[in-house]
Amino acid sequence: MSVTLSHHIEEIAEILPAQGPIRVFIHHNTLHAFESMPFEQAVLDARRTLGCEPFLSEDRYRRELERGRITPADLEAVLLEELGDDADAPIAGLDRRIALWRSMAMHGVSHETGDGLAWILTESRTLEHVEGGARIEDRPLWEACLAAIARAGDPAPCDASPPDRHRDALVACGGPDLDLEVHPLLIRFLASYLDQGLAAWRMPGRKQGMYACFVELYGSAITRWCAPWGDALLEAVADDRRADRDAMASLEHSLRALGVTAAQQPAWLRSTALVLRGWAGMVRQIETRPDRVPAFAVPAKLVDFFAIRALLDRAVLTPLAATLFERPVPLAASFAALQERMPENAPPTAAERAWPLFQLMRIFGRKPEFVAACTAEDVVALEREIARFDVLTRRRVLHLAYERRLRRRFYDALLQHRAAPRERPPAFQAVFCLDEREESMRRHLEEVDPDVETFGTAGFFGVPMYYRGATDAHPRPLCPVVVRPEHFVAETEAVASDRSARWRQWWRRSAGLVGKNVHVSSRTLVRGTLLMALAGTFAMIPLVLRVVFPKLSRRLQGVALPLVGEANTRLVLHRRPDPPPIGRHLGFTHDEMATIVRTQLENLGIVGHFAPLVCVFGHGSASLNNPHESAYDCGACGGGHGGPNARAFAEMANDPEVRRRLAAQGIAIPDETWFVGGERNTSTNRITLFDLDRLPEHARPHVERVRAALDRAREREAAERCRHFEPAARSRTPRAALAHVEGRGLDLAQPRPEYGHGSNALCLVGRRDTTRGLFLDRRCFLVSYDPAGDPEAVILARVLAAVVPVVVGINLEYYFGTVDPIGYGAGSKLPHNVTSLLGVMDGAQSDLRTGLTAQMVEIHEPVRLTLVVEASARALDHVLRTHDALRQLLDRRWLFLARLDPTTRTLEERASDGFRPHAVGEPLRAVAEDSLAYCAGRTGALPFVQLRPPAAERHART
Amino acid sequence: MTARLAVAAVLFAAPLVVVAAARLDLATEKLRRIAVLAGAAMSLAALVLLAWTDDGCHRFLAGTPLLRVDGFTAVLLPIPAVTWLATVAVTPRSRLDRAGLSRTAWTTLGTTAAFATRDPWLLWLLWSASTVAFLSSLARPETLHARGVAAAYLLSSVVLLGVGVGLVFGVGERVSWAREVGLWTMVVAILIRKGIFPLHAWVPHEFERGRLGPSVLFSAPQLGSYAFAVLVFPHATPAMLRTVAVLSLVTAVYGAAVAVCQRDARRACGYLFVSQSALVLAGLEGTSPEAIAGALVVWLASAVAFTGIARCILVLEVRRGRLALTTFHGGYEQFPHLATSFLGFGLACIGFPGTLGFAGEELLVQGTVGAFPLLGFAVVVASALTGFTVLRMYFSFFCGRRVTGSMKPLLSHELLVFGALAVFLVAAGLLPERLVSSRLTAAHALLEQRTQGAARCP
Repeated sequence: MSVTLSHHIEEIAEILPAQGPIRVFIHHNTLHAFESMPFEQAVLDARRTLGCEPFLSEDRYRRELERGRITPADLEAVLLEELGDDADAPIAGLDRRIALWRSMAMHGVSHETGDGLAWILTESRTLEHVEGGARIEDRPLWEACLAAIARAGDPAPCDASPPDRHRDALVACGGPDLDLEVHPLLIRFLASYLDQGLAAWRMPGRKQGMYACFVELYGSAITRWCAPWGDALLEAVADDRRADRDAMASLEHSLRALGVTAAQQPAWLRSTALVLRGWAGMVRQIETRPDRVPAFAVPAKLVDFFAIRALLDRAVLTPLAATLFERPVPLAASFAALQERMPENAPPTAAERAWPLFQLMRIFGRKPEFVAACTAEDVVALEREIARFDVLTRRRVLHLAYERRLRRRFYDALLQHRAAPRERPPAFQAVFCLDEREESMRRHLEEVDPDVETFGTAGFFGVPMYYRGATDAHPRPLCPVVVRPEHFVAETEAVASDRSARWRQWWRRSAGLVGKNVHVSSRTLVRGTLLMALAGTFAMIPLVLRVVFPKLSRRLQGVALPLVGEANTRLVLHRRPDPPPIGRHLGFTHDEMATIVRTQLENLGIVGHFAPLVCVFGHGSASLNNPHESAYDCGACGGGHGGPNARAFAEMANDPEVRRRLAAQGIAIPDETWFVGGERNTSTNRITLFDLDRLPEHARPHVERVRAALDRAREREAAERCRHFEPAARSRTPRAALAHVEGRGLDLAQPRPEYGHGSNALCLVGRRDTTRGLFLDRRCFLVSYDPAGDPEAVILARVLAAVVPVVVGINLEYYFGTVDPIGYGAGSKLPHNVTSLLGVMDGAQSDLRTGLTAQMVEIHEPVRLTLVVEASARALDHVLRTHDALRQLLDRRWLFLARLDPTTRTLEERASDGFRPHAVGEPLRAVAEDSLAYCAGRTGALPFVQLRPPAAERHART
Repeated sequence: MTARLAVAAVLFAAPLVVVAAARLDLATEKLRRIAVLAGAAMSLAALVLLAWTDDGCHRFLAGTPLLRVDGFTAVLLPIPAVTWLATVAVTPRSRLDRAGLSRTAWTTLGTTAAFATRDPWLLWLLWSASTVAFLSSLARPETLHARGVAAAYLLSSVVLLGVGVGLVFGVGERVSWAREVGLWTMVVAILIRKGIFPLHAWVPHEFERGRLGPSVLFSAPQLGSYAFAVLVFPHATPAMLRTVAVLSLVTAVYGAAVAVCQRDARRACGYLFVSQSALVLAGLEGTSPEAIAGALVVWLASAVAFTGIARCILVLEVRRGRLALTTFHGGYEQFPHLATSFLGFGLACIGFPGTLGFAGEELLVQGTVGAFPLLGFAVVVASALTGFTVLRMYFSFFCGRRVTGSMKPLLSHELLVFGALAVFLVAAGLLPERLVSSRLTAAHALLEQRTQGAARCP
């Protein structure tokens, strides 16, 4: 039996949220467990299982129809595809099916029940409409619909599935809510057990494992007073201890005691896990990826979670079972007894059935006489049609039209755009993360200095590593989540024996010690009272500074930074024989470095034309009072900052030994070419360049030029971003805009330091010339790939294998976080409280809230990713044949794929029956201005345009 | 005087107009419109009287205490008027009938008349009439059980008050023991009617199982507090006042604490009322003018705020069915104005700065702590606990997942009523000086009556 139970638990683990500790927030497909199904089926299945919304609301799509974001042509095309040959079938003499569906999609047919319908019929003016300025009473039509429904006969009986858990059955029978009893204790226990350092006192016995710890803790006599059912809990725990049961044995025993049959077990376990899915998922994450835990990898297993939950259910139900029924019922029989007493689902009333029919007749402007003439078969056919095109189907169709419109606009733009030819070889090259937030940065950089050549690649730059900064307490992985690094890299003071370095270290430790003690003391009774009395007033000073004067606060911090912060540091990048604190190796060998550099250069397509300076920029985001800070960081770095990876890559590429090995492999990096690593803070737009003290003399003028260009570009990029913020933040000069975004990141009270990936929708794998000068509104992941240098599609396969999981993960997480910010997302930030340093809860006690916050998705348009690959048909076919995971994702429509032919410049979209050529639908507008001028004064998503700044202006910039 | 008389005439005539109109063959919706207009006129008249009446006493039937307005009663007259207006304007059409509208008008008239009299027998008569009107509103089959419970408590209070009035004002002058027994009898009657612990059980039950609209119309004006101030306070012994004050403070904390853990919105609303109503009584029993003035301001603020909260619940219920506080109903996107108003009403209940409740709570805390240095802080505790409940209700009603389905937005008249109530609470809270100073004068007058030992007009 335990084997079966283990198997069930493993299956259930798949559908739990895969979000790890919040410090390493990694974007992933929220419905990763449903990837084996087609997307449209998966979201509906997830709706049944998880109770979350699959698409935006019908109202929202209708608003998009009204403002032209969805056109009637898009809707018509989707409906034609959906209905096929059935489109022209007449329905009950009303109209053709496609006309019926189109009208229902455009106007909506709501289903109302009970009080809601009563309110509509009695309180609102629904039963009348305005025609030619006069109010027309619709009551006769309503009466006719009611009569028609009466003619159509009784409704089909409603099926109701039995409840999976005791709690659901109890609530349905009007009993108490079991969860309200169990959850407070269970959440408190989980938060304390998994705590990573928030609590002043550590829970005893954590090393024994979660279940053993629980049994020990609640085996003491004090358990009697922990709840009204404390006696029963104590008895259940004592019983387990007497029988020496482990977690699995206890779970089996509890399930038997609760009367859950073998057939009911999967459903019971699934529902039980999903009701606290955040906590259950976190237990699972700690079980499978202890390396991602911030401080203390406590032994925790999902089976422990179930065993504890089942014990608590038993404890609550034992006294209840004796009083719930007319006569005492044994606990094991109570589940079946409850299920027998479940009230039956009432069939819809005549008014509830007539209401959709009435709306349909009004949409088509039919008179009561028409309805009266409808036969019973006609009414049944209309009811069937309404049921077939129900609200979920309508939302799906509208969503497909919503996606189609954006896809086609992107295709049109790619086909019509022609980049201005490059006049000179690049003065410097800049490699950025493929992140769509870098699209705007690259565009502005190219606008202020047209002699730059920019590239995009996964922002860990092929350097998977565990990294510990000079001021970090613990190492963390910096690579995509699917990769488990083998190498550990540390940052250390350049001269460790230096007196000032020792001073800094001493200050850091002292400051940390004092900070920790003040933090802990402030949460204790005696010390907290004393601290409050003695220094409470002074605590106001930093608080007020951070909220009211964030930039001044930053400057004051800057005064103290030389005391505690790192000054001149180095990466311990080269292989050392010492054992690493995590991973397998301390540093990389020269061979490993050469492989990393070669792979990246090949991917980027800069094997043969190096500029004198190659800058490699990782990115991260810094903001205050933001538990989700990591979610704004680099997805390719597993929710970390990509700066260390960029720095490591640059150091590897500058290494003479590595260059010698590369030259032997046919990649000759000129001696005058120097790589510089850097990091961009996507919130404040601050850009840091690393290891400039190592810069050779010949590279200094190039670095100065880069700095000047970056300074202008980040100001302009900040101005472009400000248009999404509140009105007061818009219409600023670039310099003021930069100051504004810097302030947002430092503002203690700012819930939106930036919008993260809140506009992602598209991805292009191809040459920059395909998109240079095209305004893509920060909506497109840009991945550099040169098809000319990859006749065998080896590089393409590698690039897609590395990139697709990252971008699809980001895209789908934003999709689900937007269509249901409460169910799939973490809801609003405002009630969030950090718990256990693992995640956030709503208020003082709730499930662990996983996913994106509502503030992160406010400007997002939820659409599946459209991936356009610039490659020949042969190359792409080859990759799809060999890349099963990608092909399956495409077959199941988790993303869309199109191929842009590098030679003929034609575009084909992949459909279920193969690639279909795309014909340009809308002309691409060219504007004689740069990005900044085009964005000025505009809000919301903007159409793609071709930017053609006047030649004189470009020349002046050059 | 003539102008005051005219305004007072409007005050009493407005409900009578509705009663008369209900006898005509008018459509219910049309009658509702007349009632809304009458309610608005009555509210306006009451506010005008409140503004005009500083400290003097104005008798409308010369030479008798039958109908009069003074600084004490002027602050109470807007309460039945505003409650009535909110009731007739916001009650859903499906729950309106002509008899019901007529009954609300009678109830309001009775309460207003009760607030304008100091005659013990007339007050008892109006007390009894309002009880009968309330019980008759619970004649529907689904509320018969609630009517039974309410009848048991309220009819007892009618009998006890009648006995008390008879003993104190009938034979009290001649029989020495009758006065004290009569006062205690009246106190028990008042405690029952106000739902003071341990005689409170019927109030949450009525809110939960009865009809919310009539319950609010009956309870919010707090006729019990008025009867206490007029009939008991001038003659009560210090021990009697102390006992009632302690019971009130305990009830204030108890009601607020129990409200925190309720799972049904109506029941939580009932306990909130128990707590708020006890606060008013606690203030009236304080012997300082600050406590009495605070109680008067809290009386007005909490009645208006509480009416608003109850009507918010009703507006949501009629669109969604009964509201459980154990789930989140996600109504903010559909009802942003209602959410804002609800929060405003809730904050006024707890004395949040910037609302009328703040001025009242300040005075109440000051006065009560002066009288009961330790127990007085119960006012603060009760307010804090009320704050928990109000925010819990707000989160439950308006936060959480957005509700799918067709929009059922606030209707214009609902929006207008909630907006007006919220604006009144905030405007009076921002400029409370005149209201507070005149209430202090009224409090001094009340204390003077107590020292004189008789309910005479100063």
